[in-house]
Amino acid sequence: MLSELKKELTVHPQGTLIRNVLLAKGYTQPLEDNSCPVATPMRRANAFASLMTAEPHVYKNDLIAGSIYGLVQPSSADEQEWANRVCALYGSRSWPTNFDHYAPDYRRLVTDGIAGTIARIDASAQKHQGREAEFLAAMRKCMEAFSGYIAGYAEAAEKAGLSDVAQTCRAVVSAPPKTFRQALQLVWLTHNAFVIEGRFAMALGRLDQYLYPFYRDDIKSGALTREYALELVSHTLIKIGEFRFFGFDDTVNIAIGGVDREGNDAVNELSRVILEAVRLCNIPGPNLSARISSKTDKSFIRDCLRVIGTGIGYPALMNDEVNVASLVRRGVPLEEARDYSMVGCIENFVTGAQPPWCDGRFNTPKYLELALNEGTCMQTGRHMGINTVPVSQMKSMSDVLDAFRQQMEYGALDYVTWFNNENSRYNPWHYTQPFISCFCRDCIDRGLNINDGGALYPSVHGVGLMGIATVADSLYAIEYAVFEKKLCTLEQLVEALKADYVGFEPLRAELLSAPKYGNNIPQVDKYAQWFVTSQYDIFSKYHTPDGGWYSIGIASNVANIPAGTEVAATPDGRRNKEPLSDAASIMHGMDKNGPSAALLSLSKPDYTKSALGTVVNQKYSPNAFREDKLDKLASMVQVYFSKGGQELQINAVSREVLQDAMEHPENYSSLIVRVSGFSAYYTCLSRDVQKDILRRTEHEG
Amino acid sequence: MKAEALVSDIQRCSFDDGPGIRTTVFFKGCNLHCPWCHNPETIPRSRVLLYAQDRCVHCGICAIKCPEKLELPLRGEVSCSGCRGCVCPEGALRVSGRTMTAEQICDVIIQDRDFYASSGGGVTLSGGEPLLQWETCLQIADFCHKNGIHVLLDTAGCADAAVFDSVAEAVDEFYFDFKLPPELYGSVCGGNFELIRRNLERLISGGRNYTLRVPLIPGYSAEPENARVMAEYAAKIGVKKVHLLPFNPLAQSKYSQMGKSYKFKGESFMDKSQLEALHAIWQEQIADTSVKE
Repeated sequence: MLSELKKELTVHPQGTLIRNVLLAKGYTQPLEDNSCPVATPMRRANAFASLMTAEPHVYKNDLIAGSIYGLVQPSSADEQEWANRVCALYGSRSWPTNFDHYAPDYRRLVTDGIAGTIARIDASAQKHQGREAEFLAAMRKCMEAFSGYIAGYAEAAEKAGLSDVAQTCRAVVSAPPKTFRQALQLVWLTHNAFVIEGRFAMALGRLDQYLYPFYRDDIKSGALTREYALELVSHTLIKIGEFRFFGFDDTVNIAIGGVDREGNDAVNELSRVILEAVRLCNIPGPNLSARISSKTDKSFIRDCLRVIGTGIGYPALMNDEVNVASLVRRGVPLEEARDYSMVGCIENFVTGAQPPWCDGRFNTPKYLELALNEGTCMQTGRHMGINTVPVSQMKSMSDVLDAFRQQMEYGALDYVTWFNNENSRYNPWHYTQPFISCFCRDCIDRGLNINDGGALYPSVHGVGLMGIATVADSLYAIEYAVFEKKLCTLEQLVEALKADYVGFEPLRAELLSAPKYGNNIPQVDKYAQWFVTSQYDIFSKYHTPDGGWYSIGIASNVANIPAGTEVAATPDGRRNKEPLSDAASIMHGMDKNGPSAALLSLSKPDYTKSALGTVVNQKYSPNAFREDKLDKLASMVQVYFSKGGQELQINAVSREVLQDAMEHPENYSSLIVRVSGFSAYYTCLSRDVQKDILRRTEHEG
Repeated sequence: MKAEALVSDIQRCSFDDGPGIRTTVFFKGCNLHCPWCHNPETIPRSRVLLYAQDRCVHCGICAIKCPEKLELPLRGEVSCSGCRGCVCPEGALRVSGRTMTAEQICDVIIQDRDFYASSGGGVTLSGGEPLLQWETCLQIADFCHKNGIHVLLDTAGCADAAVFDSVAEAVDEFYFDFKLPPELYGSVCGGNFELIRRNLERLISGGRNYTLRVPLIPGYSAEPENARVMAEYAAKIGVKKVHLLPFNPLAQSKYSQMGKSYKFKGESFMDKSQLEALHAIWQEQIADTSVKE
């Protein structure tokens, strides 16, 4: 029973997180031929092997084994201190150095199994010598340890009296999986190993594709029913919630639907089973992404909307036409691009063939502030940009845009300099990741680490642009108020911004009532188009240390709130420190002409240039999800995507419910709200974020 | 496309005013005055200022900005040019009523053509009583047909026969209101029921695609006796399809924003058992009766 398992998952283990203790034991293990204690690949492999000795934990209601419960054990303060010290000595990769947010090549794993993977490692070792051979030995060590970990689970399940779980585990200790259940079990234990390593946001990739052959064959032979497959998948995904032990939710992206490598519609029955399983789990962790192509049947979109309509906020809807094109523009071959999946919230990823993801935030509206003030921050008076022409000399919008662009170029150089240097600071040979490299093409064949030439495609750094609507609205407000209606001069406008509109209320009212992005008004929307194109041009000039792309995206999670505190009043009428527009959405409440006009505006920027991805949030009242209206809502999605929209996240929550939840959080412990990119329990969000969600226009469909 | 109309609002992306995704044009001016009207701002054929006192922070910007120097904030019917110069940063003041040519209205309509095509939607002419501005309706309908857009007329049907027939020829589908037992029409809503009956029968005999729309109003059409009379009458003249529209109190804020009293103040949403009973009364006479919420 899923509910029983869910209950079991809420029982916290007693003790301390012993990850570092296990790692330290591995690091300090002597190596045969190496007295100098540097972090060679084999030392990293020993540390991983030590992690794999974590005690397997089987829940009474498990159908698929694999838990992180065993990572919490009694441990003395002395032991902890020692372990932390040793781990600090050896160091580790982290977020800016491509550590997690990765979609492993599970297709290959379920085909080859552990033995097949080891056989490939051995075959490659025949071809290589020196460092490559040394690295392959470390990979082999990891796979053997992982195999032992699976065997441990078989034993633990047997002891717990779950003989079918034990049998399933035993079947994949070495040999490739033969059934749907075995394949799912192998994938889950692999994912679990990554979580034990401390990796966050590890994606499951195209689960409905690589498991489908097993599903299809088992259904055909009668060994599996659809109902039981649903049980298995839901009993697996619910365990993503186990991570809440450590105080926060993991974000495990799963991509379903879309097209296959040949471009045919790839939606299958398993896509729908996964959709239902995520709904049954009703937890924020599985970050479900539904890929929608022009070939996707409308009934699949309706199925997705039905799940969204339960209030769970998933799946996010992704447009294959744009995402595939954005990867092809980045040089990924078409077949490979069609096989993309997402990591983290929405980041487009070449499945199992590029180093783990990393990204940062670029606060674009700040550079408009600097452009209007000769490079000086309006909040602090500090000079932080470059000297651009004073506003008194700006005679047209193109002068304003020139200065803005110069400030962005300057900021972009800083941004890239920091990241590239941070990323290049470490000796790659001492920061290898032999286990994860086993799941990345073509690390095994090349005998190279995932971060050091092993991956087929170089690393990508995502630049998360802030405030597209704040910028578009502000630029148009300047055009409207200064150059067109001549309501004020640019100097007067800047004076009002510096004063945070105090004493300029009538001007602010005019600026607020100026036409805004999101109403299908070409004169305004052109600035959103410019936002994407100009920053694509700026960041396309740079490359990551291994020659990869700086990919822009507009998917700011809830960062629009902290980023807003860094930006003075803007010409759109926004006050100092108020939130910026959220992700790629329009500004809250500024879509005066309804959601269709909003989608028409939102579809105008060329998102094939934002290869990271975008997040557009739209909220509809539950009324719009009624059976008789689902088809209309599905049409909204289809039209948006046919016109070049990239991503759409739909909320199904009424304003009344949210308001009541803000007053009485105790009654809404399981209310899930989509907050650009990842779901979270509404009542866990800060009041600022809650208010921000409220301000998003609720579309009365 | 030059015919001018006074419209209160054009609501795009409506899921509720007919099949598919629709753009609904609310015309101003009505020759009935139903006390429960949920669009009271559309009854007068003049501009109306809606003033939401609870949102007003008394900053005075509306008065400063009004080019006609009106002593804002005001509420209700006003004679102003409708320039919309009275900008309100809090959204407390809103003008209902702008003059638009058929061409301007069609410019809005055409923007959502892909949404209509994808969903089987189109345009709904509503109000107010759209037939009072029939020339504009005709020009819009003509434009829509040239562009393959479906047109639905949402009418109370109280219009001259020649006007009704000419517009009826030009549209694809009808929502035809039926509010009260015939003998109560004149005293409660005004209007000439003979015209309404004639026009409704014309749709029935002409085999047109229509739905009879019945708002369920406490004290009026929601009284079981009245409902029975209405259902029997409708069945007798041959009505085949009915939508029941349960009462909701959401219009209350519009009345107060117009400075008017609301006859149904304190009434709440209709309860389920009452709705089911009325549904049964109607279904007994006309099988294809459904509730639209």
